[in-house]
Amino acid sequence: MDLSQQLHSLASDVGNDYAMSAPEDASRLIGKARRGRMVWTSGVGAVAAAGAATLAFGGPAVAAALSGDTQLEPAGPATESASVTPSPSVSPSPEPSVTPSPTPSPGVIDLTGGSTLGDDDDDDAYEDDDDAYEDDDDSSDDDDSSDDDDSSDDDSEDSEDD
Amino acid sequence: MSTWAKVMESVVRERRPALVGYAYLMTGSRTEAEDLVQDAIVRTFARGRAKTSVVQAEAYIKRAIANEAINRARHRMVVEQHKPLVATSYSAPGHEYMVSAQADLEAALEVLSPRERAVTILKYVDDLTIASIAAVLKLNDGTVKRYLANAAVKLREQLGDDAVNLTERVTVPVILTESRP
Repeated sequence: MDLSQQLHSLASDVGNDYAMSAPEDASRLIGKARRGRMVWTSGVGAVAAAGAATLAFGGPAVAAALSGDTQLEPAGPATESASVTPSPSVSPSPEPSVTPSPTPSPGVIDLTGGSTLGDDDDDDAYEDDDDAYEDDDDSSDDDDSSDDDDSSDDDSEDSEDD
Repeated sequence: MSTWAKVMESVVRERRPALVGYAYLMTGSRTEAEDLVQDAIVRTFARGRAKTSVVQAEAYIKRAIANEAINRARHRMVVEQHKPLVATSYSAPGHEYMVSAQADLEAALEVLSPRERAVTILKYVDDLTIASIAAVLKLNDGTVKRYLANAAVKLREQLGDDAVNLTERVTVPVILTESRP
């Protein structure tokens, strides 16, 4: 009898011996798994909701910036040109609501740098997008942890938890 | 009852004894094998995508058992290394234990390191290839071969030369001919 047969025989003997006194705790184990599943789902679901919220709130700003509705220009020069000589090339329709940059009073430092609201929003939007992608990656990792491919990873982490 | 719960119930009722036997090969302890299997089953169904078939779930559980057995054994080794030496009473094994062929096998498996033991089980019980074993344990192919070779040497020392056959070694007949000037 070679090694493989011996190992199979040993495992079979132990399994049969265990089967004689196996506990009937299937329902208990299923309940345990269900509780763990709820925790796992809520964790991944929270990440997905955060990503969706980020896209929902950050998406329009990004879309507006990319479509050109909002003027994305360097903050300093744009403010100077608008305050000194409002050029028609920057704002074709000279409405005060479009370029509402007031002339800075002498001696007052403009801490905002004359940046428009759209700039900040766009930066935030990009950052949020990055976060969203990171979250997606994380969530995909979690998803992959259920895959057969990274069972060892997942299990090793679990074992560390243990 | 949802699909995953039905699959889990089938695994627990039908495949659990076989999994305990498999885990016993990995651990060498019946108690630890039972604990390992229960843990692996719950963990497999508690997270991730639902397993939709018993075969799929069993394969996943087996891989979880292999990795968890290695982790636990290595942890136990670290604990043993740092444990203060305490005198214990010696108890000689009984006659039944000594004459059992399975006892020889179990004693031989005890000589192996956790990873050597795992690759041996994965190869000789699961019939996995080197590449598959490497994928399960996240090791390189060469590392798996080295573990297998080391395990084979140790098992031969314990069980005899005929116990282990390295099927990877293929003997190629070489015909030597005289070179003519």
